[in-house]
Amino acid sequence: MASRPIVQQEARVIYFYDPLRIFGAKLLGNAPAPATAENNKKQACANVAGSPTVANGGVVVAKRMAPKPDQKKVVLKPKPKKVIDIKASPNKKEVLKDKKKEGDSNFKKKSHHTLTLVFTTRSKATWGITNKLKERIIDIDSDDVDDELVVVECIDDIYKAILFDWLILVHTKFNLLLETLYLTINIVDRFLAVKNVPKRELQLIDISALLMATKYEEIYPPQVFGNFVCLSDRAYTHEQILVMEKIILAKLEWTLTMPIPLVFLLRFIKASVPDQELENMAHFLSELGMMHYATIKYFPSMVAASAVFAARCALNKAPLWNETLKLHSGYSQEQLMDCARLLVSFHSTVANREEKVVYLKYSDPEKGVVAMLPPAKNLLPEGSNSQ
Amino acid sequence: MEKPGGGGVLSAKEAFEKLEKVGEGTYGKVYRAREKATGKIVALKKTRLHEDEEGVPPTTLREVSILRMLSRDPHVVRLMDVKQGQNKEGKTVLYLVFEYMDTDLKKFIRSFRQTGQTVPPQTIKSLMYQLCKGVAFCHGHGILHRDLKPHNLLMDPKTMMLKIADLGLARAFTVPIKKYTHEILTLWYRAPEVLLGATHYSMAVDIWSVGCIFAELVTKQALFPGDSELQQLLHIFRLLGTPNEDVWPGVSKLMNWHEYPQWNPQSLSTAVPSLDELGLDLLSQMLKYEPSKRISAKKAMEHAYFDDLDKRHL
Repeated sequence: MASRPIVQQEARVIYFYDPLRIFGAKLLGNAPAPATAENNKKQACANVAGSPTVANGGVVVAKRMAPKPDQKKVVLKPKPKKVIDIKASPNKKEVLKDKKKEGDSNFKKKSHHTLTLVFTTRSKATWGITNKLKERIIDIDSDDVDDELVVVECIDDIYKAILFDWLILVHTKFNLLLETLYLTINIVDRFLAVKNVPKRELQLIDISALLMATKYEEIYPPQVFGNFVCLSDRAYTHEQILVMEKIILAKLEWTLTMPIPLVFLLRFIKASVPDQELENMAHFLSELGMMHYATIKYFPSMVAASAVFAARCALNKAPLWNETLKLHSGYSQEQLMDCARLLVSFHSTVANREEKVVYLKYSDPEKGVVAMLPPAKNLLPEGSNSQ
Repeated sequence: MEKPGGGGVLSAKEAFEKLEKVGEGTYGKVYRAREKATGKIVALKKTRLHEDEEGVPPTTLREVSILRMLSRDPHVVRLMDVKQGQNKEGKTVLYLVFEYMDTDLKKFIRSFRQTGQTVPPQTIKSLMYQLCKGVAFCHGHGILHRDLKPHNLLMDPKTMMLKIADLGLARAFTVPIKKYTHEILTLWYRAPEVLLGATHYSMAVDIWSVGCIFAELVTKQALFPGDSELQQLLHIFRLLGTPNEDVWPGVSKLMNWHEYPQWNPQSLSTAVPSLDELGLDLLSQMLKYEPSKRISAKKAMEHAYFDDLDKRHL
């Protein structure tokens, strides 16, 4: 019986070096600014991976929320407790000295980086500015650590797409089952729906969720010590990954046996009497759906059925939906329209996104280059750009 | 990062008083215990979490997750709680809190063997119906048990209630069935497709086990007591005949297929002489070589063998 081949650690680290460091960087600031030179890019990645992502005090909490249409992101600003007019002060050092005497902990010398400093350092490193700041930076977030309204942010589609891109890379690298990919996303989505987490822990959650999904689905799960620690570019320890595993399990009450779109997708593809192209297209659209929070409002079975329907539309299969598919999926063509349109809209924009590993995956000849085929025009709103 | 487990929740040590050790599994011991708050007797399944290694074992992860879904069925053992504690070395230990059942089918059969009595036919029928019902419930929820054997079937000897337990090897399956490990299931109850190295298998592996248990209930002896994979196959072939492409299309393409001694099929009544005609018919449908031809648990419940059984309280 063949066991999973052992990959040399060096090869593994080299393979993940760029995607992982960029993943860490992206989670902190949605996307790195364009670098002026190749070595600046490397430096930026190294800085971000090497430095602590968020200050011990300044916790930015991330909560997963499904986006509401036409809703602008609301930034809640903290109520100012006491305004210090720095310009009016004759001597900044004196103000700081006085504050120290009063015992205001905000003005003690920080041994850690603040969130602002991390972002600043990252962008400066990216642009090649290396001269150190001469003045001490005041931590403007430390008073608001316990104020949830101030620190809550939305984990939006960008974060989800970054996570998904990274997951597909890992998934391909370890040659994992598709079930593992879907279950990982399911675990992360459900955990973030019930728990506010600091942004610095997002990747840790992803890794622990992947660990759980591999244990649940795989015959030979990759090992924690050899593989999962390397996945984070050693940003998290062996122990942190396993502690987070227990936290997630407790929060989800150990419920991992869940309906995922894939279970339905395989069934509906079979009912569609598919050729390889249709199968690949349905998988592509289903995985695109997983990248976006907009699909969360639909049942997994509906996402799967819509992926098959949209795939049939894209490939001009006649009829687009038939009695067999209606019987086995439980959905009529009309019921699938909204969700199918959503998947097709993702297809029409995916090539222009920064996070497009799923697009590249299905642009491979092995996958029939289905990502490069035009999306289902009959499901696109008039006047919208297809690729 | 927060600590796992709520602050106000009692630990296993605080909540339960261990009474005696009743068994031992792959990942730890099983205790009979008393819940201090209610005085209720429970079974505590202790699982070591290898923090220094791989964390929660896959078997525990699957078992708890699957039981969270299946525990509401009367023929699946009820998982009441999951508690966390620490052992003497300070290592994390997980306690699965189950309803306590007095005995299991293995002990039940042994007690009849030791006294030289036969299990009453209506008792066999009732137990088999409950087993089929429990297996049908698991399969209906997309779960393969993969380790059905008398030891994993808990019983209340007073009410003759039977419950499926130990879902450590169970797993959810998808349609079409994907590759699974073929290193599952105790040898005596292992289906021939698994013994021959099939990695794509389905609900039929559980039905084979049910058939073996059925015969064992009647004869009080294991039907195919092999002590190695090869011996196990030979036991099966001696009774059911050596399979070929006619009776089981695709058998010769399985990974572990070799040229085996050629035996002709025997009548099942030679192995299970005291079983009536309807029982033999059901058993033969459970022990079909070709997995797709094996009866399903749901269909087995509708078999004429169970027609004279009062099913109201089962």
